[in-house]
Order: sequence, then C-alpha cells, then structure tokens
Amino acid sequence: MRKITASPVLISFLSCFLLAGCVNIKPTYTKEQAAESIAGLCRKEYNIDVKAWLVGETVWVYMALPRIFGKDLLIDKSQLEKVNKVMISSSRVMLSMNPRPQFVVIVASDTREYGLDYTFITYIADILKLQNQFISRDEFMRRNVIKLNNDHRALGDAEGSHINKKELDLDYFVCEQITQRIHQHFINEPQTKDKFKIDKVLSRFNGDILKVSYNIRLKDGQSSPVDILRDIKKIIAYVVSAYDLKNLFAVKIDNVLTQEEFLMSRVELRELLR
Amino acid sequence: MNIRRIKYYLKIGVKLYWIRFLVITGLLTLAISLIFLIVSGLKAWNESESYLRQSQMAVFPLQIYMQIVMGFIFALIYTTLWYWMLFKKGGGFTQVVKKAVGGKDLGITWSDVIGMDEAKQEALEIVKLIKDRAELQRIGGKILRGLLMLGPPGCGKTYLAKAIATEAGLPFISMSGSEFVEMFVGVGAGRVRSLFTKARMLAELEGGCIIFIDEIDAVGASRSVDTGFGGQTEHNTSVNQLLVEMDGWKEKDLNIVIIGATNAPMSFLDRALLRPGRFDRKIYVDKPNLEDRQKLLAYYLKKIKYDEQDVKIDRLARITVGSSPADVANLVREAALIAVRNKSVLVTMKDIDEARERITLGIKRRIKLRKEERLQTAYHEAGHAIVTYLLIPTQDVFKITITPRGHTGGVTWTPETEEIFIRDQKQLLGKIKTYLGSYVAEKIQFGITTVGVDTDFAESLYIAHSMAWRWGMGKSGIIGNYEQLDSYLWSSRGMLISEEVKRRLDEDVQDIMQTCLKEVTLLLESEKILLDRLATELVVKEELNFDEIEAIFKECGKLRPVQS
Repeated sequence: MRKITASPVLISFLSCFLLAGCVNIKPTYTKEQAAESIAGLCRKEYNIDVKAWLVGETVWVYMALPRIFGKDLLIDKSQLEKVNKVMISSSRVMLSMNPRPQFVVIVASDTREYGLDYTFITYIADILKLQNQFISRDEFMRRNVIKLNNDHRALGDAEGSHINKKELDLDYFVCEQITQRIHQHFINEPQTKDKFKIDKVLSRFNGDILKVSYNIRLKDGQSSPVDILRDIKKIIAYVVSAYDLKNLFAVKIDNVLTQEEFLMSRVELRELLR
Repeated sequence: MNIRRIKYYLKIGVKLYWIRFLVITGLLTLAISLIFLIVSGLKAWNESESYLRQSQMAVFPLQIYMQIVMGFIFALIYTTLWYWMLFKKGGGFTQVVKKAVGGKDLGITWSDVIGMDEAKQEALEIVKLIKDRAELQRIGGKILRGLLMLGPPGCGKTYLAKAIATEAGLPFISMSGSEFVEMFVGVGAGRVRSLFTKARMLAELEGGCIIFIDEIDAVGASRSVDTGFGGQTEHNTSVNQLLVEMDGWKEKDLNIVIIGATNAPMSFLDRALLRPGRFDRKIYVDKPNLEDRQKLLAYYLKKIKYDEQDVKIDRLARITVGSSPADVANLVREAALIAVRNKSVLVTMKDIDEARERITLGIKRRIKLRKEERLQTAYHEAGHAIVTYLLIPTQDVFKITITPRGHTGGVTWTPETEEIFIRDQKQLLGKIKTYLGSYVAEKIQFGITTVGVDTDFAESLYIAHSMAWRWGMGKSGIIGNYEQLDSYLWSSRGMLISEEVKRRLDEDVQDIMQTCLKEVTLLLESEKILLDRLATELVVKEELNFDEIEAIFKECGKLRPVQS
C-alpha cells in the first residue's frame, strides 16, 4: 500500500506562504495618469476639487481655497485639514504607482482675501520611509518644505495658472530644507527662541559645492546659548547624510555678518554626526 | 398532522442528539462566518491600492514565519510545563519524587549505631535475611517483608534503618508517613503505588530495595468508618494500598523490604499491617541504659575537645537517666557551645552541668520576685527537697533554685539515679509525698499556701487516682482497672461502674492523699530546723548545687536512707 506522507504537502503549502512576498502586484495607477488619478481620488473620497499636473518627476497639485487664512493671518484649521486630505490622496496615488515621480508639490492658495500661496513640497522617498517606519512622523514633517508666498495673482485664480509649475530636483529640495531647518532651529527651538534675529539664510548648489550663507545675530541684551556655526554645520551634515547626496564635494559656509567662510568636506560632515 | 409529527420527531431528536445538534450548529456557524469573512476580505483586497496589497504581501511571509516560530516556542513551553506538572513536581500529586540513595552512599555502619544491642542484633539478622534471600528461597523459607521499629523519639530508629541499608548494600528510599497524606481522596494511595513502582524498578536493577517510612502511624493508623467528610476514606484507601503493596498479588516476588518507624504504640497501627507477611519483625528501640549511655557519651565526647580529667563519663551516664541518644548528643553540643561562650579551650564538667540545667530546667527568666515571694518559693522548694532527700532513695536532690525558669518560679531538680521500669506502691506514695512537700512546707511556715502548688497537686492527685482506680491500691480493697472500662462504654448498654464504687474509689484517692499529707506534715514539722536552714540558704544564694545541699543535710545530721 502506498504510504501517504504529509510532509511534501506541508512543505509546498508553507513555501507558497513564504514566497507570497515575491508576488508581483500590478500598480493601481500609472505615472501618465498620475494627475488625473489624484484629482479623481480627491473628488471621489474627500469631495475636494483640485487641479493636478505632472511636470517631469514632479506632481503639482493646486487647490483654490477662498479663505485659507483667518483674520489673524493664521491658517484655518478646517482648511489645513483639506490640505492634509489632499496630501494623503497624493501619497496614495504616488505609492501605488510604478515608476513613481520624485516630488509632490501641493499649492493651496487663498484666492479671495489675501492672495497668499501655501506651498507644501514632499519628497516621495520620504513618504515611503514614513510608511515603512524608518522615520517618525515628526521627522517627516520636518523634512517637508513649507513655504508661504504673497502673490496677488492668486486672487481669483481657480485654475492654478499663476503658479510656476517647474520640475524640482533633489538639490533644490535639500537646499530649501536646510534653509527651513536653520530657520526653525534658531526661531522655534525652546533654547534659542527670542534670542536670535535672522536676517538671511540662503542655501544653493554651485556645481558640486553646497553654499550656505547666513546672517544670524543675537538680539540686544541676549547671550548666545548655542554655537551658531556648529549648529548650522550639524544641520547641514544631518540633511546631507539623510539624502545621501552623492554628487556633493564640499560645503561652503559663509557668515555674512563676520565675512568668514568655512569649507567642509564630506568626511568632516560625517565626523560631526558622530 | 404532518407538522405535529415533524414537531414530535424534532423534539425527540433534540432530546436524543442534542450534543450532535450543538456541535453541527457550531460548526455551521463557524463555516458560514468563515466564508463571509473570506468574501469580504477578498472584496477589500480587490478594492485596495497596490501599495497596500504589496505591503500586506511583504509582511505576510514574515507573519507566517513568526507564527510558526512562536507556535514551536509555545508548544515547547506548554509541553515542558505540563510535563513538569504531571511528572516532575510531585507528579501531579500522586507521584513520589523521592530519590533513592545507594546503601553504600549512606555511610552509616554498625559501629556508628551505639548501644541498643538487642535491636542491633535483630537488625543484623534481618540484614542477613535480606542478603541471603536466594538461599532462603532455595530451602523454601519465606522471605522477609517488613520490619517495624517502635520506641520513643530520638532513640535512633532512623539511624538503625540507615545502618541496615548500608550493611545490606541496597538502594534506600526514605519517606515520612505524612508525605502520603493529602486532602484529596486517592492521592495517598497513588503515592504508595508510585513508591512501590519505583522500589520494584530499583529492586529489579539492583537486586533489592529498602523502603523506610518514618512516622508510619501517619499512613498506617487503624482504618475506621468515615464520618462523612472523606478524610477517613482517604486514609483507609492509603492503608489498603499499603497492605496490597506489602503483601498483595504480584507478578514477580522482588526483594523489597519495608522498614517502618513510629513513636506511637503498636496498637495505634492497623492490625492488618502487623500480621506476619507484612511487618514480620518488630524491634523495640528503647532509651539507652547505663552502659549504652556511657558508650553514647564516649562517642559524642570524642568529637569535641573535653577535659578528660574533669569529665567523668561514668558519672555523667549515671546522671542522665532517661535521656535518649538525641538528648545525649544535644547535651554534648550544648556543653560545647557554653564552653565556646565562656572562652574555654576544653569542655569541662561545669559546662556539661550548665548544659544539663539549660536543657532540663530551661533558661533563666529575667523577672525579679518580691522578698515575700522569694521566701515563699524557698520554703516551697525546700519542702520538696527534704521529702525527696529523706524519703526517696532513688532520686538525687541535684539542684534547688528559686530563680524563675521556664514557667516556674523555682525548681527542685531530682533526677533518677537509675532506671525504674516498674514502680511499686511505696515508690508511688513516695512520689505523692514529694509533691505534697511544697504544700506542707508553705502551710507550716506561713499558715497559708500559694498557687505554686497547682502542678504538684495535679501530679500527686493523678498518681493517687491511678492507684485507686487502676491499680487496686486503695484502702477499700476494691480492685480492677476502672479507668479502662471507659473505653468499653460505647459497646455497653449502660454505665459500667456503679455510683457506689465510684464514691468508694474517690474516697480511696482522698485517703491516699490525706495519709501522705499527714506523714509529710509530721516529717517536715520534725525537720523544721532543716527546713528553715535550707530556705534561708536558698534566699541568700538563690541556687544550691548538689554539694551544697549535701553539706546542709550533713550539717543538720541527716543522712540519705539506704536503698532497699
């Protein structure tokens, strides 16, 4: 009589389960239809009308909000919620797409009262890192570049025609993020709050050299609780290491106030993080 | 009509097959809910975006893998836990966890068993029987099953059992009778079974096994009818199992010898246990006699450093009448401790005397008696001492103290000079007189007495009562053990002793007490000078030792009566 053994069945069954992770799943959205997909999802799931464009590797999403800012010029919470929902929709589309674009830029414009543009730039890789819990939600929020521009052309613009929809690259994003982080560090951190006055912070790439110029000085009667240069160096080092900028050769830091310049290699930056 | 019939069949069907209905309904509910969950899960899967599906698929193998690993870990933990609970930790109540010790590993030889020559002789014969079992069986002799050791505590029953095991060279399993006792019915019997199963295995492997059950009365007491609470049933079951294991039907007749030890009287044990074929031999391990005490003292003193010029073993043996081997060992140990405390290099007789006092009389209490109380106590103790000294030749007046010790205000220590196994009427009366000495002395000196006579009266009255009620020593001439009759009261139809007999016996008791009282009163009145002298000395010194007491008596011209 033939002996029936359970082991081959069990092994095949287990193999199927264990190999399930290798299954290729067809992406729900395509890159070509990214703009339509985001607009459709926002309308279908959140009943929010947005305009979207794909410019190279950047998806631009425009939302006309008649009253994004209140009388005290603070962002209205309900409007911010809408921006957040659009962000979620955009993320869902971006993540369920292969290949994916690199950036999502959401521009929420106050089209009735002030003519202000609230711009929110997100790097798609950061969304993935957040989803896979490689970074925290706080860190994710710090990585997003948020800008607020006064543009009178926004008034009455329901189609997003006033925004300059260009393709963004990682160098631009990193520079903007460094500038934003330096601002936040010297203005919003508890230990530096109300102690410094920032006249200028500018980051830009000059070939393979990242140049950061700053003019930060102590307010009258305040003593410095931190080493400004060292903190700036640390911020730069952190951002450079987070995005692993391969084409970066050196960083040049220019203190506009003292006219001092500092040049740092990648190795020195790495040392700073230890 | 059809509906009625359907209803009827349904009713009958439910009554008959309700478990089947319940199981099928449960299974159907599970199957339907599972189908529903699968369908809704597939629907959600199809509607979800590719990233979500991909994330799920990515973690799925990991989840399966972790579940398999966790499954293994939990299976291992549960298996170990259940195994431990069922087979290791007391074997789920009914298993015996005792490990057998090899006979040779016990290391207690005959030479280590001091004294008890008769018991040793008996034990030696038993060892011979265990060893020559094959020879015995060849000539058709019946093999030895069990050996029961009886006797007071601390006399070396366990020691003797160990020596038997060592000499026989067989594995030795030691258990206490109380280890078989649990609150659950059947546990005791289970443990007995488990013990004998283990012993049988060892016997097959090693050619024999000795089971030693200490305090066997805990498991082998007489069986009786349960009063309804189950405790007796449990006990009966344990005894029954023990009986079966000792001499029941067995596939193989293995060389297993059971040694039981108890301090309880033999009558306390179940009669079936005592019959030949179970506990075939009974050894009475009694307290050591003078010679044995000498050997014991020599054995224990050899282990410490003592002053050989000062410590006289023969004298020590004479003054430790009634001590068990454990008491002797304790005395030597205590003396060594006292010597260390006194920073002595060698143990002296003084240390041993102090140790004796401490063990027998208890530690001194730190209470201060008033002047009157000291005087009352001094006369009380002097009364005891004079009566003992002049009337009881078999007891030494070893020490008198009015320092409170234990629960007493004072003590007169009168150890026996020799073992007395059977007391006669004269000795009993002497005891009563000794007890009454305190009362009479107080009465003569103060005209009133104290509560200190409480224990003295209780003891003397009990002796007088026993003399009249049990031993036919009353003046009325009534003979018979009337106290024993009480035990037949349940089986008799009415009272067994008439009120008249009781009255007469009680009169006899009081007559004994009064006669003794008169004699003691006469004695102490005539020895008033001695009484005063002794009491005064006691008040001054608080404690009088043997030599001081002797000196006072000699000073007053009193000599001890010669023992007849």
